[in-house]
Formats: sequence, C-alpha cells, structure tokens
Amino acid sequence: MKSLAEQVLKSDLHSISRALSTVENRKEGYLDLLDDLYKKGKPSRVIGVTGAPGVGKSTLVDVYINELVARKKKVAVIAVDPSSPFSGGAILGDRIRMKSNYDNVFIRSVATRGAIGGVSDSVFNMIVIFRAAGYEYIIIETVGVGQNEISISRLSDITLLIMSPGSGDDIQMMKAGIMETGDIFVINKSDYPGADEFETFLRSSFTDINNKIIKTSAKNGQGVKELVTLVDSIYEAENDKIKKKGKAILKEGLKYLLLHEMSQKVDEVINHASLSLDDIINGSKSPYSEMKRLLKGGFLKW
Amino acid sequence: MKAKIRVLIAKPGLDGHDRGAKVVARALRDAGYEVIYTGLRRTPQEIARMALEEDVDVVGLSLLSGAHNELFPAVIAELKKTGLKDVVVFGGGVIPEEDIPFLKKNGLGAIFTPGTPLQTIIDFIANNVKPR
Repeated sequence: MKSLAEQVLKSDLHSISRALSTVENRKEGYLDLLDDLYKKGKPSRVIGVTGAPGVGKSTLVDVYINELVARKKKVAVIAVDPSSPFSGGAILGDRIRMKSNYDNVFIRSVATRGAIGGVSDSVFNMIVIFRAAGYEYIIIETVGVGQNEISISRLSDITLLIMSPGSGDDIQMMKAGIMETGDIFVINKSDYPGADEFETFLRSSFTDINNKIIKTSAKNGQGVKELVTLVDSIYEAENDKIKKKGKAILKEGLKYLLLHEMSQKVDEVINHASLSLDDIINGSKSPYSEMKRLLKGGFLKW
Repeated sequence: MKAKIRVLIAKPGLDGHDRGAKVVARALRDAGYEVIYTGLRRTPQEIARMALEEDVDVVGLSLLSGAHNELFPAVIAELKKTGLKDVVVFGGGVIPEEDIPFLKKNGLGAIFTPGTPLQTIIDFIANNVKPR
C-alpha cells in the first residue's frame, strides 16, 4: 500500500484508479492508505450536483468540465448511479453524456451499493484520494433524486440543485428535504418553454437571498460560464462559510467511518453473541431487554 | 467485502445501433455486475481511457457495422498501450463465423453473435474474470 499511496500522490492514473477500487471494496489496508493520503491532500473545491432523474445533471457536468478545463483546471468527477436492491448490479450510465476527453479530467462511475442518501458511502473516502492526487475541482453527481436524498449537501462545499422547467409549482418549493439543500438553484433546459415562469416560482418561494438562482442550457451552453463563475465567486466571497462547512463535512465523514465499523460489529454480535432468542420466544425476555443487555456489555469492544 | 465485478460495455466506431449492447448491459446488471456503458461512437483511445478510469475487469465491445476486424484489434492495442493487460475482452454483434478465429487470435476472449443466450455471456465473465 505504501507505494500505491506514493503513486497516487504523483497522480499516476493507474494508481488512482486502483486506489479508488481498494477504498470502494474496503480491501485490507484501505484505512491505512487513506490515512497516508489524507495528510497529504491538497486544497480542492468539492461541488455537489443533484436533482431529479432526467433534468440534465450529467450533460451539465460535461459542459461544466469543459469550462473548467478551458480555465486550466484539473477536474475529477464521481458519478453515482443506483445499485439494484435485488441483484446488487448496476447500470452506470452518466458518462454516456460526458463526451469530453482531457488528460486533466478523471471520471469515475460509482454505484450506491445499498446507501440510501443519493450517493455511495465511499464518496468521502474517494474525495481523499482525488485531493491527494492534486485534483483542484471534485464534482460529485448524485443519483437522480426524489424529495429526500440529501446526503450530498453534507459532503460537498457547495451543492447545485438542478431543476428543469415544469418541475412543479410554489408548493413543491415549500416542501422540506431536497429543496432545502441547494446553495445554487440551477434551472437547466432553460431553452424549453416555461423557464421564466419556473424562475418566478422559485424567486417567490425563497426570500432568503443566500439561495442563488441561475438559468442554464447544457445543450447550447447558455449560462454555463456564468454558473462556473458564480460557484468560484462563492468560494472567494463566502470563505468563512465554506470553512465552517468544511468542519461539518469532516463530522459527516467521521460519522460514515464510525457507522461502517459499528454496523460490522452489529453483524458480528447478532451472528455470534449468545443471544437469548429462546427466552424472548417463551416470554421471559424481550428484544428490548436483550438490546439493553448487549449495550451494557459494551458490544463495541466485542 | 467481496469486490464487485465491473464491466465496460463499449460501442467503438460509427454505427448507431446499441440495442444489443443495452440488452447485454441489463442482463449483466441483473447478474449482479456493475456495468458502465460508454454510449455511442467512441474511439479506441476513449474506450481504453474509460477502462482505465473505471478499473474494470471486463470490456465488452459491440459492433454491427462490419468494421470489427479493424476496430476490435485497435481497441485491444489501445488497452495494451494504456497498460491494461489483465482486462478480459469480448465482442458481440453481427460478425461472420469466418472472422471469429482472426479476432480470437487478436486478443478477443469470445465473440457472441445474434441468438447467443444471455446466460452464455454471464457465464463467460464468471469463468474468465479472476477475483482480486
């Protein structure tokens, strides 16, 4: 692993790719690899891109990449699509829309593998690898989300919520969940009819001017330069906010790490501890008294 | 955790027919594999770059235009040039029987022509990908 970390730091593409797999599959030693790389991470901008299926997230990411490359930036993309809860397999189709080929762009497709918040549990760790490899921008595209998958807003510095004309009226904008996550609201497909009306809905729904609204068309490139500039300007103008966010992201990352270790412990305990299942069935104990007993016994030290 | 097998389904060249590629991609999804689809009209260089970035175990090439004798070996050459020596490659499409020995000699692990049961393709991957 030592040499793998060294190669990642040199931005060797094979090693980056292999390191991403190592982390995703949680192969032995992956935590040491991440520990090595974390300390050597370079500053980067982590931008989340989320929105309903079919609003143009991948296509917009493609033109966003083009604009960043034109500005001589090194860009990594983590494109998440859902795993089947039935077979465990997945179709990862985001890169179909990503037509750009640049030496300085690294795109990795990731399946959710059972995570329910719209990203994979490995995203925090994958960002560590891309940081160490010197990618200045890391774009995370979520699965197509509904109203409630908001994990991305806890992992990225800035979240772009992508919508398209006809995504509902002002009542939809009032609903809790996804509508609360956008730092920037992007009305994509703004070459379609109804874009202006949709913008009016949005503007009337958010009196908080911290939420920024921008119209784009990924198809003809309209508004994309402005979007990239807007995101960059937030990094410059609201540096304190971004720093505060950084702490929240760290907390979230630690939570992922701990939850993973704990869920493994829970599996071990459930499968091997001397559970009094028969006592529960014959009525002398309950699942609740059993839980309390295991917690009291310090099951994490199991 | 057991590593998932990752498969790149790729459309090299200029033909625009990807129904076959999509049917195979779906079958592999249902078999529990993670399938990355390239979309239409990719160059051998693009396909090799994607295989590298996605760290795939398998690349499946689909072609119906008749250019398989040129493009399949070109993809193999590009994969080698990129340093991806362990990747299993198979091909599929309307490919004449008499071209198959040539393609196999040039690094294609298998060629699946119309009418091949999907299970045959799934089994080919299961039997040829080494766990890592």
